[in-house]
Amino acid sequence: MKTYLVGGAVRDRLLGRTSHVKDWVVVGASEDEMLAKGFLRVGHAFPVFIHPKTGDEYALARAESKVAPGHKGFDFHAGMDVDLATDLRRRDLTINAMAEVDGEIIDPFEGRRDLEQRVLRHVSEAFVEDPLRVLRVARFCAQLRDFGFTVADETLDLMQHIAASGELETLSRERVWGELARVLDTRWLDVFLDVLTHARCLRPWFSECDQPDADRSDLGTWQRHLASPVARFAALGGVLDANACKQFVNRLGAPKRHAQAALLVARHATTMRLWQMEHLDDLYAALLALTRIKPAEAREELLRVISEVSEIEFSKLAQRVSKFDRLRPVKSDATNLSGSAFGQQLMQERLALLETWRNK
Amino acid sequence: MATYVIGDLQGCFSEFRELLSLIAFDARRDQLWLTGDLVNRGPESLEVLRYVRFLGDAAVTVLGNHDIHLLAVYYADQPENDTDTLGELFSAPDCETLMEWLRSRPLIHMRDKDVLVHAGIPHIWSIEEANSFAHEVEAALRGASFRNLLRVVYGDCPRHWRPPDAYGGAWRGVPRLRAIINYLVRMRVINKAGRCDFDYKGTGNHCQNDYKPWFDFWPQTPTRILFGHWAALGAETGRSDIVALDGGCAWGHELIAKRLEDDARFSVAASCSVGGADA
Repeated sequence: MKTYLVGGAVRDRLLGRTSHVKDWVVVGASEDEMLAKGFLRVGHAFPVFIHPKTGDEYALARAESKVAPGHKGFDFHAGMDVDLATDLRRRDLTINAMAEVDGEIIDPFEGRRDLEQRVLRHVSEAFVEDPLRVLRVARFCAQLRDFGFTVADETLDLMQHIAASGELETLSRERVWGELARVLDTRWLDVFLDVLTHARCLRPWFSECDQPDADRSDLGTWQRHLASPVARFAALGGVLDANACKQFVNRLGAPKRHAQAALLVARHATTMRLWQMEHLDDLYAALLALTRIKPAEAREELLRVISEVSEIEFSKLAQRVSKFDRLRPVKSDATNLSGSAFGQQLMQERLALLETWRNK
Repeated sequence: MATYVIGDLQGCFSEFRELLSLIAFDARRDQLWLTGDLVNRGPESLEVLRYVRFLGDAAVTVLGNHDIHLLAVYYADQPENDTDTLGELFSAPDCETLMEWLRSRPLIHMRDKDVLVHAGIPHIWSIEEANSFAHEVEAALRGASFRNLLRVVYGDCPRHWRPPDAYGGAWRGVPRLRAIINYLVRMRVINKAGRCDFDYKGTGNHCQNDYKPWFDFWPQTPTRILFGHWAALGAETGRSDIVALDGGCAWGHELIAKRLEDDARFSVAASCSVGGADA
């Protein structure tokens, strides 16, 4: 049996990029041999094994064939007779289809040439068999943005072909979110969406971003300025209106913090941007929603997004929200007020505070 | 060598693997502590159990209420709840091995100045007392008549702890064990006398009457208490000697790890939200 380092780890090493995941392919071994060596078998679809100490993933070399629609519609064959080149052939892009053993690179599909020319190119026509690959290509464009990769014309054709086939609908939202989550770890969400736009793949998963009134022209600037994945996701609230945003986060099953942040931005960013003209009630509702965000770090994260999207200076915004939050009725008998009277009084005084800011 | 403590996994295997990769966990030199509730609500309880057992000495987990529920369903024919996601476990070929392993997990794990427990330790006990009470339950779960305990493990009563001399002698038997389990794996809010309110699952800010979060009754503790169980807290107690770690991963929030040596915090967002966004 022979073990090869494969995929992203090889690509990243050649690019001089750090990657913390190491995937291995094992050729000429059986499941029983792996178990006898102390590996743990995981995964339902095909055999993957976790190394007892390092936690790295080892997969038996396998051949795949498409038998049904969707990314799960594969039959696989993982036998002692499957060689390395067969395993590499089922991979999506040439730059991901290289292997390494003892310092030697094994490169049957000219991945190294494409890596040097900064091209994302499919390995074979089997690319169209897994619709998730469309999203993966767009994700790689974002992740490898600093290296300036572009999508090969032939690959873009195949992506458009997949989009037209309707197969994107067969993806599960968990897989789609998984790709988006990796994009949010970078500062290039705009690049991801642009690639999907060129490939005509925004629908059905990112349909809201495909509407004429979804203006993404500033999204890139916001992405570069925002420091956390949640904040970068929430910036989409500056692109989508509240209803579209809600539809979008629900379709993707976004985690709670992401969803809440994006919805809050979508609901209130416009009000904040038009600080001077809006009705006080709307401004009051926006500030009240912001004060309810706990803990303090989460609130600051959100204020950073609103500051970007609404073009309000961050320090000014933070100061106002904090003042609004800490305001208490000044009357000496305020401590004796009943609950609801206290609330009334507080609201009046907060509205008065907003009034003074509006006239400034 | 570092020790990482991770909050309630509840079947969230992919987030677990992602978090381990984020902290570059290496079983050859690092230790992993888990706050319990390995199973239920999330999609991959079976994979989580297999993996934690597979890590052997590199991982320590304490029993949580969902783990004990699983044992009660498996060994004592207790009914499953509608929201349980345990089905896949029972048909697995290695189910019995996993259940035997789970049954022999502790309720409390102590090392130097750190103590790991699922729900918490009530202020009416010292840490050492809590540890010895936990041993009573552990011995019963490993003993010959463990099914008898699991058959009646459910129940909010007794809500009170009886000091040793109140009944003219030591208080023994299943009610005592159930009380210990209730404190260590179910408690959230409690009153000064040590009575629990098991219905309360809120954020701890607006409790009824004289009930407060259990840790509010503790003065500064010389032993750091690490616990999970209470997702609504948002993994925040406002103090450094009592550390909450349940980030509510199975509810679409996050999975949290802390490195004990320097308090560094790591987290990964849940890969998906169960109910969608309605905020």
